[in-house]
Amino acid sequence: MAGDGTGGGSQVVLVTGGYDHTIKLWQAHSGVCLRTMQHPDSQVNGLEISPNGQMVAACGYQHIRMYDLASANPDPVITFEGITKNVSRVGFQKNGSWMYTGGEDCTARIWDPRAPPQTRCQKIFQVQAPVNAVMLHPDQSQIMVGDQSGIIHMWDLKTDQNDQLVPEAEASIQDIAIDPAGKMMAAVNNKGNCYVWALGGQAHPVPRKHIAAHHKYALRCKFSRDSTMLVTTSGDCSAKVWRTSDWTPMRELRHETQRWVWDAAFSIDSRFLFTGSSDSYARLWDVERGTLEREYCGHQKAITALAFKDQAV
Amino acid sequence: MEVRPPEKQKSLLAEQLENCPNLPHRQYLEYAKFDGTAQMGLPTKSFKIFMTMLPEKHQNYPLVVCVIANAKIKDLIGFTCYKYSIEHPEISLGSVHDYGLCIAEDDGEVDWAFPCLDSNEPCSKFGFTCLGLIELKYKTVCAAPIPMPEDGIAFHMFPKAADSGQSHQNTSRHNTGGSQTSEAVISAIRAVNEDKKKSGDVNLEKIQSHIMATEAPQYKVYKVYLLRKVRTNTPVQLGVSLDRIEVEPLVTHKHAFWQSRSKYFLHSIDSVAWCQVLETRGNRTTFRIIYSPSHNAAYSDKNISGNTSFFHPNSTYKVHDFECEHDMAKEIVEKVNTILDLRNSPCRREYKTAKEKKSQTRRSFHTKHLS
Repeated sequence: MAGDGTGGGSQVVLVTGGYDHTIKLWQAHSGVCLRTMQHPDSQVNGLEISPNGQMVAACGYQHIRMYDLASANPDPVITFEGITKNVSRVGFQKNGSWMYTGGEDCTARIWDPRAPPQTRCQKIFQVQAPVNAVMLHPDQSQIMVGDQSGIIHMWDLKTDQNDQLVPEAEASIQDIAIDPAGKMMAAVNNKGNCYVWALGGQAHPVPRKHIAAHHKYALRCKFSRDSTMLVTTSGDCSAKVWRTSDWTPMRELRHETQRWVWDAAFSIDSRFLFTGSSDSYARLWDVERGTLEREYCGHQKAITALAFKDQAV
Repeated sequence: MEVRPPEKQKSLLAEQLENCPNLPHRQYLEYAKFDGTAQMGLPTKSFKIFMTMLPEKHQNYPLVVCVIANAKIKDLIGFTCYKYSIEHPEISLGSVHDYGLCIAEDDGEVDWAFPCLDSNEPCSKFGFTCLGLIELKYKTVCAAPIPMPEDGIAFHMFPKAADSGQSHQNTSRHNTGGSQTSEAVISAIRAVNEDKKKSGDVNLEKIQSHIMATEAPQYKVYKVYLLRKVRTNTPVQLGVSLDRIEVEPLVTHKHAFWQSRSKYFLHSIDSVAWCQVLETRGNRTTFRIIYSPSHNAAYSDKNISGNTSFFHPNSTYKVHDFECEHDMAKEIVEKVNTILDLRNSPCRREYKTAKEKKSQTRRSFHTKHLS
């Protein structure tokens, strides 16, 4: 109900977005939808909660919008204009002082949400192919930009120089992840393959592992907060959790009605995992036990993005 | 910059999950998507539903549910169970297949002369907004009007608190039969309430607003003054219900029969956009109801209105201002707003969006001006 704008005040925040042009805020432990926000004219490609937990940024076709989680306002409070195509990913700098995006206009961009509307876009990094993935290194100095031609560009923000990695020819990079300790980088592609590099020390990432993770399109990859697990999600209707110690599979998360799994997020203790799927359900899994703990129903169409912010106790 | 690996931390989510095992609404989860208040741009329909299959003490107030208009009657039944079990997790309901919806009076009396609404028909097809949820086996046994069964008899869906320990079971949502109020659930409810207490949510105001929410759909009449720009204020009777707002002049002298009753207004609640207190002077408070005549289609034929409501472009809003003593004004404004939030009609949403936009332009003008 509109007046019941709790959830934003709560420290645990789960948001989902999808093809029904809405973003929903959930009470994660009970599975009750607290609020619905409008995301007009476009599906939601990516969601990210700001580091202070006040806002959620959503990117879609020609739009990046920020919504206030603490109020009951169903409309965005900040919008970023002037983009001609799909924006695929959005992320925040550690302190929330700037935001970065990547999109099908073949650019990665840096934005200052506090600047006046015309000057919000502060930096543009141009590549040759549409960008599917952007990931900020935890040291805040480099953005990894993955494009549809299969190249990972390592954009150094201080020098504006860039370096390239090509893990597999003619395979579109779908997502890139770096573990919170800054030691590992993973990328998944449209062939379902996952590549892992060791970071740090050397100037250039060192290839560590190739996993044939899925036999179809991979969509996302994310490390757990303790860096012991990597989750990959796919068009094969599953999310798979891998041990980073030896890269063996740990869990395959499937459900009879689950379709493409578009996005995933770990809890702060790395015990639970949220997934969002084309069957319009988001799910919460206990990774250790492999059990389904909660389901979140309310979207009319596929869920294509989710974001979760946990709180330490 | 050096990256330090994050420290190991305990998760608040994990703690909340532990305190909150499976809640009863989960078995109706698949119906959550029919929620009409959570939709943008889809037509919706609201119903007052009396839970007539429950013991009498749970039937005092109807549950107001708003579903998307193309939901079928069986979806409406499922969503009603879903919503009721969130609001009353201590009461177990049965399988949705055991229930039917019948036409009911405004006071919740089920009209047993009519069959249940066909569960495969879309609910937009029916004009009735007041319905009673009944248990199907009673309907089939009794063709004639029957008294509702006594409390406790034959209500097998009210088992005693059963064995606990099902907190971590993963009952699939297809299991819609025989849910039980286990101790686990009761402890979960307690935990949720504790949680609320901690955040200071449960205060008198909250309880009051809950009472408001349950009472709001009840039809109520107030004696207030209708404010006019030129003439003196007219004493009127203001009637507020879930479906409409009526303004009827109180005839002061009965010989005035030649005075037409043309100042009688009737507005569908779905054409009302806003209601707020304007100002308080002494013990008198003025308040305003904003409505859109263009959303009043269903009622316009009945509107023999002095304020002609013809020939206006879309989304023009008109107002009625009223005056009465402070407490009553507060009650009316709260009641109307509660109903408006329950209905969440397109008219209200449009008005809210327009209002929001207006304040945003004002704000951005301001910042531009400053910079």
